[in-house]
Amino acid sequence: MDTIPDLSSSFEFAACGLVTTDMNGTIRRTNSTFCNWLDFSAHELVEKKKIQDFFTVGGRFFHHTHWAPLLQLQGSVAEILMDLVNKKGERIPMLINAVRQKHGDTHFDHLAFFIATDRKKYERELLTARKNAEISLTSLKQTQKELRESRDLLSIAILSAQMGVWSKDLTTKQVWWSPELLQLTGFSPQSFGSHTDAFQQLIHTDDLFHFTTELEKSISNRIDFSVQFRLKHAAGNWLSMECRGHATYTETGAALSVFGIAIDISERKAAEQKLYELNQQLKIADRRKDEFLATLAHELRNPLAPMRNILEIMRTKEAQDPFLHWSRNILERHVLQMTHLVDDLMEVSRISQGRLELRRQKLDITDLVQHAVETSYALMEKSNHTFTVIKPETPIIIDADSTRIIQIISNLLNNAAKYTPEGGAISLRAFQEGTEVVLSVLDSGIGIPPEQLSNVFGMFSQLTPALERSQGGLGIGLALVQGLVELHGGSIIARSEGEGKGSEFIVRLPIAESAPETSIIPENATVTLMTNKKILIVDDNTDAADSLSMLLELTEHKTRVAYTGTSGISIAEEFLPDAILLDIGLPDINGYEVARRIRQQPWGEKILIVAATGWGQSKDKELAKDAGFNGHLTKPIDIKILTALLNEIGT
Amino acid sequence: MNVISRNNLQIIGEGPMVIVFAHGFGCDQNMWRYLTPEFQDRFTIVLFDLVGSGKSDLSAYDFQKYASLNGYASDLIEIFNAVTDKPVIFVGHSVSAMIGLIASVQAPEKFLCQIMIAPSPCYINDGDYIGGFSRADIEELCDTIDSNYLGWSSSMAPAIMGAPEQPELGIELTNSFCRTDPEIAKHFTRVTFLSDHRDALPKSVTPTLILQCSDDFIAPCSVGEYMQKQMSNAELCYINNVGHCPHLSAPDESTKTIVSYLKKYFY
Repeated sequence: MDTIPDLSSSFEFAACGLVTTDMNGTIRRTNSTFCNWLDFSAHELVEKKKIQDFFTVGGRFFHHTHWAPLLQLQGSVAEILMDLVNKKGERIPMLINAVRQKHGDTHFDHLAFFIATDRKKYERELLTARKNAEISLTSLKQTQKELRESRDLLSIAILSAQMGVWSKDLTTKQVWWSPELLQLTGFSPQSFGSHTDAFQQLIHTDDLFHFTTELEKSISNRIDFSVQFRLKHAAGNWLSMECRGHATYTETGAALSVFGIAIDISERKAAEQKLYELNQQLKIADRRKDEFLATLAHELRNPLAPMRNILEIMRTKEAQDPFLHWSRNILERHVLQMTHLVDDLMEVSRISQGRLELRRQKLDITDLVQHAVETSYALMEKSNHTFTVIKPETPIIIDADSTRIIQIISNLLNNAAKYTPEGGAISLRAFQEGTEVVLSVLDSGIGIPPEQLSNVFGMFSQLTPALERSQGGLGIGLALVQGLVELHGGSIIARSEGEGKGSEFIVRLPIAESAPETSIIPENATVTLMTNKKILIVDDNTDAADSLSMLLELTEHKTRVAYTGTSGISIAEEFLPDAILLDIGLPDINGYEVARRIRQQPWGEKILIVAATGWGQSKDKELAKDAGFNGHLTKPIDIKILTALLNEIGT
Repeated sequence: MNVISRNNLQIIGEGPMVIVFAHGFGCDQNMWRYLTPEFQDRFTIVLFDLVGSGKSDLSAYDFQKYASLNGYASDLIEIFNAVTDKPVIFVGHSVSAMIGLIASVQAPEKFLCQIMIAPSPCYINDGDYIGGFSRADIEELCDTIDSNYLGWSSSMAPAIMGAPEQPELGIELTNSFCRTDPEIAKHFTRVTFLSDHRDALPKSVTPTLILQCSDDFIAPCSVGEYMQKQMSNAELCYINNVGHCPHLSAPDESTKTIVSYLKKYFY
């Protein structure tokens, strides 16, 4: 039978270190387990050491502040964890319990030590884990705080942008509105009906169909939607809203919900309406201005007609009088300039009214350049400019109105000549660039300041008023050029390095695909004057009528003049003219009526009837043709063209 | 701010003079239980727990406010004001002796005298000054505090050991006097043992008794002697005691010394 070891053996080899000390900590008894752990023999410890001697500094501190007072107060301490230092100076983590016991008159402390390496490690791990958890928690809190802040910020931003967020669950048909949207629409979470039906009741009935179809389209086509509609504010007024968003889908592709941002665009809508109204007003004002300019040009042309007639008459008389020659020259130059000016003005206003029509044909740009150069050559010569022309080597075909293209080039050349001091250099180049023909007019003239570059094409835009005056220009020319270029589907830009550094105007016109038709460039035909024709002039402008009559008389024609329509008919019947120059706007019956009545007469069938109008529009021309006119001239009548027309009847 | 609940204020007796006891680092007002019976008849005894210790309101522990002892000093003056408008006798142990020192500089009119038990104005050696410790020692103390409070922090640990020889204590929880939040314990340790209030010593004019333990690892005799020299109105008395808590381990001698000091000057 086994014998249980005796009590002292149980003490000596207990599974813990056992130590008994007096109240000061002096060791009075210890077991082998404790001695072995600390690598001391019992006689080295008993009565020679205090238990504190094996503590670290921190441990001794702790002994003073916690262990001793606790032992004093409650007679025991439990689970003290501290390091003990063994003979080799190694630190051994120990868990210590102590109890104070009175034995006779003396108090003794009984101490039990347990090695706690694993426990300490575990606790360290625990501490580290806790520290990590705390760090994560702090960072979570920080993240939450930042999230809250950014959500607040977002909410403020959304609110101040007059926006709100909404979503609709497509399964439950429940609609959710963000607090911002509720605030925007004056609803509270309680007053807002969150079902689709309640939501749709807030949408204006005229907009509901559009709203729902747009939404459905977006859901089924998986595209973003953007829809405008009117939404009823809680107060009853209508808000103009714009809604943008898209749907979300399950993995299998079923639509889950719709998300969107709703923006209150009431102010924008009001502004748009205001802008639209202003724009309309502006359009009306602009149209009135165009009408005014057209009327003005027309009215200015009428007095020019007799002046030019008189000048032609004077030319035949001037030989005898040098003074008359000088005076007529001046007058003629100024009347000519004025005529050009009025013509330009008229054409610009017609372009802006959309009433100028192009007679397009397939043309070679080279021919047009040649023609324009011829008309401008005299001007270049006069100012001693070095004039260079570079034409393309192969034909470049454009679909254009020859007169207008020549007008464009001439105007640019005249402009260059006008703004280049005497003896300057001007070049005209035409070449192909991609699908365009480029016309460049480069001069060494006064140039254009950078800030003026963008508005040189505006009507009456003036560079330097003083300069403009000295050149006698009003700045219609470039506006006309731009209008004509754009009518042709082209573009024009102005370039200049600045004042005094010359300028370049670059016109680009689209190239036509097919070959040119027969050239119809108007020729400056030398006119052989036919004489001895009988011509009736019907015009209520007596000066114009009389002066034209006198001019024609001087060229050996017989003329009669009528100032009204009816008197025109009766004079025609009596006079039986070869040709009638018939004004359209007459005081009694208009020119068309006069022409119709004459045509109805047997004597009137063969008479050449030419309409003379101030308007020169195609509509008028059609009317003139229907009424039986043979031709049409724009006032003031150019005597050369009239003569050409008269020649036609001769043949 | 309710001072009474914040500091778990306890008032015993109705004597004409007020004596305020402030516990030191580690435990709570229970430390005074061997001393108070002697004063109960003659004094109004005021006991309290420093914020962060004992049964004080832990939620009042503001890590910023209590980052220096000044926070505790202003609490102390509030306690005085809550109890009486007359000057008091202040008994402070260990760190509380320093809290009292600061308060006595700020509000000397509140003090009749101050009794410092085992005080030290600075624990770390600094040139000629021997506080007894290096910074590394204090760091190690912090570690020890930390690992122990981890186990002590749970508010209801089972009592695993009784106290057979002192049945009057009943079945108090083990280590209960030292329980607190581990974070607070760690913070308080640093604030206490890294503080340096030597410059306040000459500024305090309050009559002072320094109780110096003969063998105190934490506050060695050289510290007590240094303090007495620096202060204008301080007496130094030695208590024959090993340890830092003579009011616990040598309560009779402690009481006798305090009473004779008070008798000599104040009653």
